[in-house]
Amino acid sequence: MFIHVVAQEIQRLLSRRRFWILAAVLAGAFVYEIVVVDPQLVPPPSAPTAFIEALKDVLHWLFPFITGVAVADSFAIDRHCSWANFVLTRGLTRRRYIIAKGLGMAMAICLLLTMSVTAAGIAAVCTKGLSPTIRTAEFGMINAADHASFLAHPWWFAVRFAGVHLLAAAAYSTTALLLTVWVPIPFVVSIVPPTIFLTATVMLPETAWNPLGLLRLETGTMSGRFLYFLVWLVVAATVAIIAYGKQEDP
Amino acid sequence: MEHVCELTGICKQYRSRKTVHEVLHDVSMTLDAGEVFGFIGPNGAGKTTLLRIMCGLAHPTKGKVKVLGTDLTVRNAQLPTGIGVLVEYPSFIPELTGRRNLQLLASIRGVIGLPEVDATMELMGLDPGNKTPAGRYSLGMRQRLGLAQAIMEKPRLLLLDEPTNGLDPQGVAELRSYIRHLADQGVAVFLASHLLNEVEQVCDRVAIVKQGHVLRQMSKNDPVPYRGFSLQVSDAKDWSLVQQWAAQHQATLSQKDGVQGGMVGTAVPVPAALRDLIQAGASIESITPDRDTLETTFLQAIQEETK
Repeated sequence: MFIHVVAQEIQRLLSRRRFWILAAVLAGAFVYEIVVVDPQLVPPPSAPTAFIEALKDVLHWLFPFITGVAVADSFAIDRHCSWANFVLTRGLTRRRYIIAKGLGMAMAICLLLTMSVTAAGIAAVCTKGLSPTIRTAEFGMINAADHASFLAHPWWFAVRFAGVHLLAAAAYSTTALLLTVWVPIPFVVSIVPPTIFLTATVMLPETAWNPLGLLRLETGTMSGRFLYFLVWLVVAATVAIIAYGKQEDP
Repeated sequence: MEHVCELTGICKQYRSRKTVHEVLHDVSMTLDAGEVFGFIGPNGAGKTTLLRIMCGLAHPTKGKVKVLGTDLTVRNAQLPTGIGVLVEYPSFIPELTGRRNLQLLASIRGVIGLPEVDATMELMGLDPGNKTPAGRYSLGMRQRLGLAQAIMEKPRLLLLDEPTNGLDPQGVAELRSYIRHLADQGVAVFLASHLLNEVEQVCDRVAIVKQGHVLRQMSKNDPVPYRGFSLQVSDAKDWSLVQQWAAQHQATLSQKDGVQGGMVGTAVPVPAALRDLIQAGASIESITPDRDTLETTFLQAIQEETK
């Protein structure tokens, strides 16, 4: 029953036209960054570096809005249709419903991100070749601790980097979900978290606690960022589940 | 025999910082298999809240709810299978077809497949092959789809909140006969409505509720006080025959202005009175027993409560 509800949540989001518009916008931003902007850099970066750079430049400002809109949209469905009632009266507890909903939503957002990132990867390969030569100048864009890993397998490193961002998206969407527990207006949910996120990137010094710093590669190691997002995801999801479970009406 | 549903002393309060709003006060009732129970009251009486409590969507502030053998007031109680619910104004995932919506819901419990979904849609007058997204359904079609999701898994307890909302007269008649059919098969039906005629025609028992208080509970088997009949005859000659009959039987007579007819207050049953009048040569246009209807009882109960 639980797995069916997770799958339904994914299908629900995938059935929304705006979901595909978001995916297209994100993919377009990546491709634009790789195809149009990077050739102007001297010397032009290798394909994996261009891919990583595009992610760094685009994701930190675009995905808070995208996940915010997706989360708000998911809750808007609950508020404007009787789906939650239909599901809850089929025996699923409210707590399990919200866990399933959170999981489904995070998976749908990761799917959106994966599609966009794949488009970016294809654009990078098409414009800069599959087997690039890494130049020393490109190391300035990568954390020193990760140089060896990057040099050994540049594309594998780039894929892991994208994976960390997928986790970030899941963590971010769960945080937005947490906000919807207290903020009953979906529109506010789509605006408040990105605003908090962007304010934090401007106001906080660029340390590991700055969201922008976390999404950059220059500060912190890959595994450090991974752990940070994992903790963020677990804490946010737990609080959301407890808080939402106490509410009577979804 | 265990009741399908048993509510004992249900109270429901909503608290804000300064006020406590009581939606339901000490509501107790039982519902048995094969019975249709009507819960009627004006808007805001607490009908929907009680229905939500019965299906676990809301919890009572006080009292006990036992549904299909499960006490729903126990912490983390698992809602039993076998409940079908229609909460008022059902709406579905707008981008998917009606059939796809039902298919997704059916997959949650996994007790029925696509053939049963299609059969239920056809039963509710919907075309399973209709590719129109549910978001573009009319109010009546949405209501039919809502009813389909409530009954498709063959529930033992059916909870319906204003089920005839948006249905055309034919749809209302079909639903009424289908509810009776379900009851005959042993399904317990709880029907919350403010349409007295609808409730009166289909329910075995009725509770009248106002501002969370149950004012009266009645059964269709309860004796109904008989006060006489109203009748209409063809002309003045016939009316004089009625007057003669009334004098013979110590009946009271009140004629309506401008018509050859009126109210006859008597203990003589309608068939006997009718036989006498026809034998006397009167042409009877219409005759109706003067009994309390659900409407008169409802209005009386509401007025008494207001006083």
